[in-house]
Amino acid sequence: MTAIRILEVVQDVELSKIARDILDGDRIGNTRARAHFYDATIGSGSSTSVLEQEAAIVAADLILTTSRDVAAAAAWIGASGEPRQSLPAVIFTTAEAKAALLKKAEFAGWDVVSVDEASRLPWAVMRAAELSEARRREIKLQEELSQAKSLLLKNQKSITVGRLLGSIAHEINNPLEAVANLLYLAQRQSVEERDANDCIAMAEKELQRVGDITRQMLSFHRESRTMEEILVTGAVETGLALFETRLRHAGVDVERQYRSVGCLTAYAGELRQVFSNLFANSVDAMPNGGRLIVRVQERLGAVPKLCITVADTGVGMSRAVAKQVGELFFTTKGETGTGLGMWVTRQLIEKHGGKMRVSSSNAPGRSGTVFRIVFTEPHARFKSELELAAEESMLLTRGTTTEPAKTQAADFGSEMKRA
Amino acid sequence: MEGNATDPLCIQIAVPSVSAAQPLVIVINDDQSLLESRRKLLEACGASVSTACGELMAIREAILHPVGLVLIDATNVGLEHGEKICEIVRSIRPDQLIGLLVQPECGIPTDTSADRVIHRTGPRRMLVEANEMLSGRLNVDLWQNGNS
Repeated sequence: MTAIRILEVVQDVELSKIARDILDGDRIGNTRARAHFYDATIGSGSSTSVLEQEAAIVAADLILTTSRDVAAAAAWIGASGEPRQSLPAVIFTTAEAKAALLKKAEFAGWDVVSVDEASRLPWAVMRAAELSEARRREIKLQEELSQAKSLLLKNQKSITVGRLLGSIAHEINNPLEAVANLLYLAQRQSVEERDANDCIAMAEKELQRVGDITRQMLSFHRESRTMEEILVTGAVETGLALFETRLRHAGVDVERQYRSVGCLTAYAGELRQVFSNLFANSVDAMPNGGRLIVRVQERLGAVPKLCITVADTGVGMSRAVAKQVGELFFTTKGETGTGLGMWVTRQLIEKHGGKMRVSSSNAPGRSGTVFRIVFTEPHARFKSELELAAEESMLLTRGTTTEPAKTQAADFGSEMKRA
Repeated sequence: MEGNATDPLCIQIAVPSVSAAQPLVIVINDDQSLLESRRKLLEACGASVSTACGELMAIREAILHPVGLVLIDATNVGLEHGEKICEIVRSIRPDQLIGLLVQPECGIPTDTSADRVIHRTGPRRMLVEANEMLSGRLNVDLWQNGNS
């Protein structure tokens, strides 16, 4: 075993000497632990530079201090920030001070050894060192886990984008080819001027379509570094727009039941990813067509809730399978699934303070899956009538908006008010 | 029979009065605008064009009317079902001329029941290849405009 690195914060020279004698002496000389003292004594040490002190803290396995220096040592360690705040400590003290010290808890893990039980000091030091090592490992594992999670989240986003790229490329190629055809026709010498103008007008419309598609794609992929207030129905509409072609081809009817104009304080990209994953799942579950119901509603009460339901009449799952939805690497799609989509969806929902519940049935004739997501304040915010009126008048004064989803949501807001 | 133009799964069957020399071409695709532009293009070259938008309707259309050429997009009908439609058309009409339109970046299908794979690289390419398949019955001015 490597030497235990002890950071000594001791002003009491007498106590310090006793401790050194014990730890360096024959009593533990043959053990695997060899104490190495840093000369980092507060107020009197030679290594007074901040850098040296910080280096000593980072390198230390444990801290050895006395009752007199506990507060100073704790402040010192505390100021060094995470993860060194979890540095275990052994407090070497007089018998009188021990009782008082036991009532305090200045350190994450600590032991108090009085002078009259000094023989216990090596054991306390070794135990603290083991604790420190275990903590280091735990912290490292936590860091690795956190990195792996973040990597998985990123990977899943890439997979989602990749999947979307196929249909986006298809969506873009079609209008581009139409433009090429129309311009080719318009250039023909035999074509009449009126027909040529028609062709050019059609080509312009198609180019507009290409622009709309790329804007949609960019808004989906754009990284949002700050949280913002997002109209939930708007995010739902963006997700639906991306799946328009797939839904149409699969013969899926979309039923929108927007009964709220609630907002969420969220990362826009992540919220879009949530809906995109849910819609992708629904489309996959309905290869032979069906109904996709998207409902956004408020539940008033002591704690107002914003509920979003995404339900499909697809193949459904057994209760046991539905229970596993959202678990890492669990997939019902065999080799084509990654088992990341619903896990990420759940992670993102929880990150935004929400909860997701899945219920499903694969019983013939009444199969389908329902995802119910609930957000509460402060993440969810429900607009007052005044705000709605202000937004509506803003939209009216601006004339038209390029975001149909917003207009739709504003229209719905008016309907709500009328109701 | 006239389809409903607002229905995305409509069939626009022009059932044109076809003269003996005028070849009848059916274009099958899921994109109404693209279909319309191809229809204009082929008509400008003297073809009589029917367009079919949507998988099942397209097959039905192909069954109902014997035509000179069927143009099917490999990835445009139900996204990936172009080849499947080729097979269905072929099983019903073994002698039917079928052109399978593919995106060049997607590569040439190794196994296709279509008579010819046509790369979607521009209007001229499609017209030239369609004209060849129809034994030169289209009025394609190969040298006009100089672009592809």
